[in-house]
Amino acid sequence: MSSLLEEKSIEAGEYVLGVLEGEELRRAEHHGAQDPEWHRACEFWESRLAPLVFALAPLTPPRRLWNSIEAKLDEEGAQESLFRNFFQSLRFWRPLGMMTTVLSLVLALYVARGLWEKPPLPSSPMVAWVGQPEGAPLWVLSVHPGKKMLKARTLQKMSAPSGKSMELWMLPGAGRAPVSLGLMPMVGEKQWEVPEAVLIALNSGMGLAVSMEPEGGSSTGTPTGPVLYQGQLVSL
Amino acid sequence: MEDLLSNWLADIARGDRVAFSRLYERTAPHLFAQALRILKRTDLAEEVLQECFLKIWKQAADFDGERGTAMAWIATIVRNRCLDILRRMPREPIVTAAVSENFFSDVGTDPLAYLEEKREAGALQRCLDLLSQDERRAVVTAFWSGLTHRELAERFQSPLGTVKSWVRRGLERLKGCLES
Repeated sequence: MSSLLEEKSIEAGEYVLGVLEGEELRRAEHHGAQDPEWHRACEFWESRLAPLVFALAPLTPPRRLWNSIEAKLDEEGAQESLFRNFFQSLRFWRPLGMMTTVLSLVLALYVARGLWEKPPLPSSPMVAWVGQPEGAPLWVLSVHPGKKMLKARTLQKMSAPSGKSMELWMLPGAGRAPVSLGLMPMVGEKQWEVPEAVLIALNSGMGLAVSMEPEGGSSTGTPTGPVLYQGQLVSL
Repeated sequence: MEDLLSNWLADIARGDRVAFSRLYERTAPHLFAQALRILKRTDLAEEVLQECFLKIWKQAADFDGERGTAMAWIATIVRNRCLDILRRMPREPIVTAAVSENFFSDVGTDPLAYLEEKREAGALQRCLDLLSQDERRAVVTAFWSGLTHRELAERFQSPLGTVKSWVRRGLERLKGCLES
């Protein structure tokens, strides 16, 4: 085996272990996008190291986890059969020709969409104290579902470094990217409107983070600066 | 265990909910332990497991026994999701629902002493035995905890370069042994 290939294989091993970060991690991810040899090298390590996961002392997850997985499967099963019924009913229209079929398909999808329930808005107000994990809170944030508003009140005197803003993010967890909730006030208090889609996603227990961004907020839609403060929403 | 898992995956691909619940019962406790080790938060670990089991349910047909083991297919789904989240977490994780089980305490000088079901490790364990103690500790701790080179160096209180070469030499030796 060439030493170049050998090198790639060890790098793949480091990637699979999870020890890479920064520039090294980006380089590895770059390989992953296009290199079949790299994929094979990663699969080698994944296969060989996997027994370590099953060698960990087992820890039974709470029962609610299985219950919610089953509930999700039931929910999806119900939606699938709803779709099947629509498609079966479409057969009836076939003799009327392609055009009608397309039209009724569009209609069926439209109707089906309407049948899916929108997730409910949070019903009770929520608050979060935002600050350093071990320090005194700097802001109190409140969510008013009825008014579709967020309100942040400063609890201490503070100032952002010049040319910087403090941006608030919600952390939806489980691999989903943080979502911007707006800029935090540095004095007094501030109220602002948030889209309904964001409001629906906010729930009790959700983590919040404040990062330092260029003035006016991150231009990329994701946090670019360091996370300085954190908090967690609780229902009142 | 491998045969059981790959048979269940084949059944799950055909929509068999009973096979799915068996697979869950057999693997979830190990996967949960793994997710908690990396994420250190029960709420996140539960979320990851829910997401990953739904993925397993939907994508079981993609599992290809020619390319790897069922164990690896399942473990990789969960580990990759955990590492993704870990890399996006603020540097100081929000410590709300931290778990206090003592298995978070540092893996000792010989991590293999912690292996519960050594038979599952098979060839891997035999090959890990060929590594020096430092190399083995570095590789196994990295895999279980998702720590980066830098964090491993902090944990072992050793210079970054030293830790990097433990990992690298450990992987080189492992590779040689696992391929033979």
